[in-house]
Amino acid sequence: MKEPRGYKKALEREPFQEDVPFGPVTRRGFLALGLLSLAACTPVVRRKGVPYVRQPEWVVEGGEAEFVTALPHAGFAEPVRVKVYQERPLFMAPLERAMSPYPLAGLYALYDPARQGKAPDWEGFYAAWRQALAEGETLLVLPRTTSPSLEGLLERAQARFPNLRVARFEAWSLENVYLGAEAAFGRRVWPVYAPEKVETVLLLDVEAHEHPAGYLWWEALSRRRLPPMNRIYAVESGASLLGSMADHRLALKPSQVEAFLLALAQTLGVVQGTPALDYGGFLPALAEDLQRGGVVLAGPQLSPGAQALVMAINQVLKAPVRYVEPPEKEAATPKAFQQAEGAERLVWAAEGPLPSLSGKAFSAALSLYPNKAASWSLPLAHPLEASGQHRDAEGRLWSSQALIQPLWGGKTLEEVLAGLLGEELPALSPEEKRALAEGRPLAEAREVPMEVRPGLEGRLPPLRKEAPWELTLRPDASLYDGRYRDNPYLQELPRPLSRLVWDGALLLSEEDAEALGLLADIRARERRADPKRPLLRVKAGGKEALLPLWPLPGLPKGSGVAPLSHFFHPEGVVWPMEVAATGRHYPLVSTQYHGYLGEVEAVKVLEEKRALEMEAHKEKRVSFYPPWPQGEHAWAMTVDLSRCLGCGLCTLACQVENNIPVVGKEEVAKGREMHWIRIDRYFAEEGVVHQPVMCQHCEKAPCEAVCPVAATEHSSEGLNLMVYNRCVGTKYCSANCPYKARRFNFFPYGEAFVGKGDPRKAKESPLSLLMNPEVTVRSRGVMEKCTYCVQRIETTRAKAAMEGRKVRTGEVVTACQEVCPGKAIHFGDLLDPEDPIQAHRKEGRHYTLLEEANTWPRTTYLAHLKNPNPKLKEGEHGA
Amino acid sequence: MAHKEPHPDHDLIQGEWTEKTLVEKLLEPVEKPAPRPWRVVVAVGAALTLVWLYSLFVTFVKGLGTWGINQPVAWGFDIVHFVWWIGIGHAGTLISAILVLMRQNWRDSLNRVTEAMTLFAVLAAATYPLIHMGRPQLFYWVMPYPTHMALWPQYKSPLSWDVLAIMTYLTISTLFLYLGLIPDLALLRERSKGWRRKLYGWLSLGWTGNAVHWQRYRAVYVLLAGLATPVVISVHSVVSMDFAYGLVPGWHLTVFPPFFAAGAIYSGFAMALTLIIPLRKWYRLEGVITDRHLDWMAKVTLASGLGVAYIYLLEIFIAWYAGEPAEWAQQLWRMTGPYAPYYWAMMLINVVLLQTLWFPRFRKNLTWLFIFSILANVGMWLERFVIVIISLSHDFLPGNFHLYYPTWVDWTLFLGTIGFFLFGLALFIRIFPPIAVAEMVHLFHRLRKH
Repeated sequence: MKEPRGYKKALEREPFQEDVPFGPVTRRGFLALGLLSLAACTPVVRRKGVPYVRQPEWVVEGGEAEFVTALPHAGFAEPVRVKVYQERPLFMAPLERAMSPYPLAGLYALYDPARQGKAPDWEGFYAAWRQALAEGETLLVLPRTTSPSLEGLLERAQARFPNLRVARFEAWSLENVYLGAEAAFGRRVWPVYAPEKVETVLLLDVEAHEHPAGYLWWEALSRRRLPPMNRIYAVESGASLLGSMADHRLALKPSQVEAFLLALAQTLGVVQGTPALDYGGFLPALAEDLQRGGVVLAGPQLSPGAQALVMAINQVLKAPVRYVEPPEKEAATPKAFQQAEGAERLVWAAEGPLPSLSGKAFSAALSLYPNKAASWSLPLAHPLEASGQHRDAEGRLWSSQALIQPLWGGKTLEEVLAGLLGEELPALSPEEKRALAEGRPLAEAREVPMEVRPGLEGRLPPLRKEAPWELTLRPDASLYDGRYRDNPYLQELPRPLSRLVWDGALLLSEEDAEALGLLADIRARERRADPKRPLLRVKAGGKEALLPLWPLPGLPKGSGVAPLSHFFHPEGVVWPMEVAATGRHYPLVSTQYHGYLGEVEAVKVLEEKRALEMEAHKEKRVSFYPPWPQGEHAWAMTVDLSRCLGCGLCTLACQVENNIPVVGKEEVAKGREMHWIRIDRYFAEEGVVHQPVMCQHCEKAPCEAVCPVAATEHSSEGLNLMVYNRCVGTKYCSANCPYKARRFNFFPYGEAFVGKGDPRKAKESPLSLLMNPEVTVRSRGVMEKCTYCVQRIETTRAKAAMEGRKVRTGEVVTACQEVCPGKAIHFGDLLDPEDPIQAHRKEGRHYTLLEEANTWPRTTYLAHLKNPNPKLKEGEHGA
Repeated sequence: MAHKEPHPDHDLIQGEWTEKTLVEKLLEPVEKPAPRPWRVVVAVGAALTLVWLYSLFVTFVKGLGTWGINQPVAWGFDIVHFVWWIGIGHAGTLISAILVLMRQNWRDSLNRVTEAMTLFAVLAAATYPLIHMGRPQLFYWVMPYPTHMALWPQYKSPLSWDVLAIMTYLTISTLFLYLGLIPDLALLRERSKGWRRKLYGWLSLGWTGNAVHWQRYRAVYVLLAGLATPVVISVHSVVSMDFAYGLVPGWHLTVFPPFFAAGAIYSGFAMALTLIIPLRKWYRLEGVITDRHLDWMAKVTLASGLGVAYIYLLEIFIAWYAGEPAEWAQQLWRMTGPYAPYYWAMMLINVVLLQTLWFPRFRKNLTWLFIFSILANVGMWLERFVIVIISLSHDFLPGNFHLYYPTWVDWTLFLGTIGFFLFGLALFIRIFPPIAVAEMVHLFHRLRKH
């Protein structure tokens, strides 16, 4: 006979006990460990089927809320709108103009269970720290910080603990800019540029992610990449995305870049002398253009002398530059690393490269992820868990608010210092709350009018000296200085130009690879898709690293680029370099092996003049099939290649929005990356061109015709729908897609991503909270692809219906569109006469990809425009 | 033939036979202890079948990721081998159906073993479309069956046509094989004891060999032959539509149906030669499978092979003549890309070496014929590799090109189907006579009694 079940027993069984057959952690234990910490932050822990009795404030059932906050990346605030879905931050978009990929990708770290270390013993740590401070000098190494409140706390702490020494560490420093300002103006200031206001821009060895304002610059520049266009010149020692946008590009070694700058300064009369070279006519043409209104934007790694020259040139050009107080009180430099290594007692709170923490009297590491080497490892709060203040790249002060309680007991640096002092941090002030609610900065930057003091030539710090091989250690576009190494979203985001994933490599020009005698081997391996690349011993400034070689077209001869995440030097970033082959190989995986355009016209590049003359091209449309029934809307997208930097933010945003898994290096090597947006990079005659390719939503879709089970269907609004439930996985649709925009779940990628490698752990992993509840997580064996963010279309439609109105023009915004720094992506309705997409489609440079395939795509492109200087000969421009 | 003969085909049965000795000889593989090579084939076949089952298990448990397929190359060895096996099956149907209608006497000693070959080749082929699905448990969704959602297969897709074509093919070739077997089964029923007698008894459906049975048997046989004849052409034509219907450069060609049909007959006859030459040696069947039979088969191989070779050259011409950049780029990729050795090996076998069959000196040299029959199937495998994999690895946008490398699972799945095919055939000839006894006795009567 069965035992009668009591109410208690039933309760025990029903809501909590599920069959979770694997793993040492029971569901209950897991809830207690992980999710109950969520319970601490909000009064609600969702259990299935139990409705609220009293609706808590903030919780929007089945819907999403948006909050403004400012998330720091390398100390600089990036103001964002964060979409919060039932207490879970799930997506973010730039609040004003543009943002970098890092805050967005940081959503992964928020839910990452790897952040969980031992339960933090904060009181014990403060006691031990105070003890260490009593014993002797204790070094606190902070990352770059732009927070005035933190500086206040630091002052108080140093007053109270005289033994507290503070150093600021940042592998990619801005110190040279300040030193340059000191040489030019006599005091430290920070330049803020408005590149949208000028006709001519010179990019001097700078890349979007390398400068705090890089993405803002591209936002500003891209506004002028449509007729009437600005003209961009780039002089660079690497191969950057910003440089690939240039109309004329000159590739020079780092020392020659500075020599070029000196020559430019001489031409413009900023300093005396005559330029030694005219760079094949490049220099006079550039100088002439600049004098008609221009600005020079320089990379922060240029020497202080070069920075001073840039400031002086900008003054002569009357360039739109404002100078503001330096955002950091004290410049964070890589030199603090050695200080930390030598310190007897150390609290390491910086990010990026890790110093050795062993053999110290006292060592503590404050970091997002646990640090096993330190005797004290304490969790820092994720930026989304943290309130505080940060300045942005333009010097404005933003306040940020915590959008979730710390999941793993982390604290902010302010809280840690307050804890050391035994203080309480004040809550958000009414002004701060108002600023956040209104989505505006707390305080504007204080402008400092600056004039270059006369006699610059005399005080000019020396420029860089030439060496046969020069190496620049630059932040990796994904891992930055290594601080994002735990982020799989970023690890798998293809690096600009090389399209490498999961690894860093030494980038050299093809000539240099040939000079090393390695190019033939690389070409042979490329041909058979063998990922192995020669491993080099790279020596610079007394340090060495083993780095695989990746030859990249467009790099100057004798100039190497290595990622800071893989090669850090505490004394600087530009070095004379020695390279030697080791005879060994290392597999490097890129998402694109064929970079040269073949017979097929895959991408269009036009000169501005021709684009203006061109008539709109009428697509020839022939079909045996009758047209689809037309619904209320006709969704379509245009991608303006002229405004596309190729940065990959769209890829990342799409990944976060649509629950797209990361698949790992081995799978990418097999060609199975899941990104719905692939950015094709081509080394064209006119330079490097980037073309995002996603599902083109063809009206006569080759994929729909071949699916034997009707799993991919056409909607009356023009969407090419993918019915995951119906898909049996024949992959015929993918084989027949001329754009190869479809992605197949060869393995249970989604579950494996959420379960951190183990699909069986998916259900109990906190990463499942990262999944957007509006989007299905796809199972093994089904096909997927860009949906035009159909969930956003439907949410907008529902909202409009509830408000009794029609969907407004431009109301549906896709994830990729929302984050694009160049506003290159436009999503709209072809039936809406107000929609700007009408104008896009009538432009002369409008084209459909592979028109000859007769697929009638709804996603179309606007050709990449170039505005070359007619005075410069053909061969001069381009990569 | 310059000299006069009582029957033009008198030499199709060579040696001194009586009806009794002929029957004894033909039933030897079933009734006498199996020769040593048979045991080897069974052992190898069984071992490979086990390997096959293991790799199937791996595929189902871990997923299609264990294969080498990837983003542009969504179809790999799975479809290569599907097409390869389907092609091989064609010789059986051709011999049983078309040659019956054409009253070709030489088919009588070949039809049974080739029909059995067809059956096992189609079974091997049919596994691939099933296991290459991402969610094979839902395979029945590609078949038309009434569902509560009133959802039917999508008939615009050539894969739906494939399902119908292959199922028709399997049904007809099984029926044909079985129908032809009935008189022999009755004969075996009379000559055997124990479980065999019971088995043959059930299977022979009460055949007594009376005149009415024979009359109906003949009528049905010819009727089925008439039905099966279009299948010989249609099945591989439909399979070719999977490609011809697609946009992929290298697939999108209207010439594909005859191309595939010719290729199928070519590879089918080559496989039949590969099987029959050792079979005839091991079982000493030279008297009934004569050199003349093999010569005929070699000629059919040559004729169909020439069709294939012609279309290879035509493809190159069309790729250039059409002026379609992607098509021409694809052709150059085949000829000069990383897969070029495969392309040129295919051309060497199917275009150059094929020409040796024009010459009786080569055609009648059994060693060469046997080697060539194997080479021809390697060539046809390469052809499918060229069409499926090389085309997909290089379609339109250079940004998505990617190579394909098969994994051990891909290889074992292929070797496994070869094992299953050999194992199945070996068991088949142990239980059912590999040469149609009744047909041969009829032929014997016709040749000798007139």
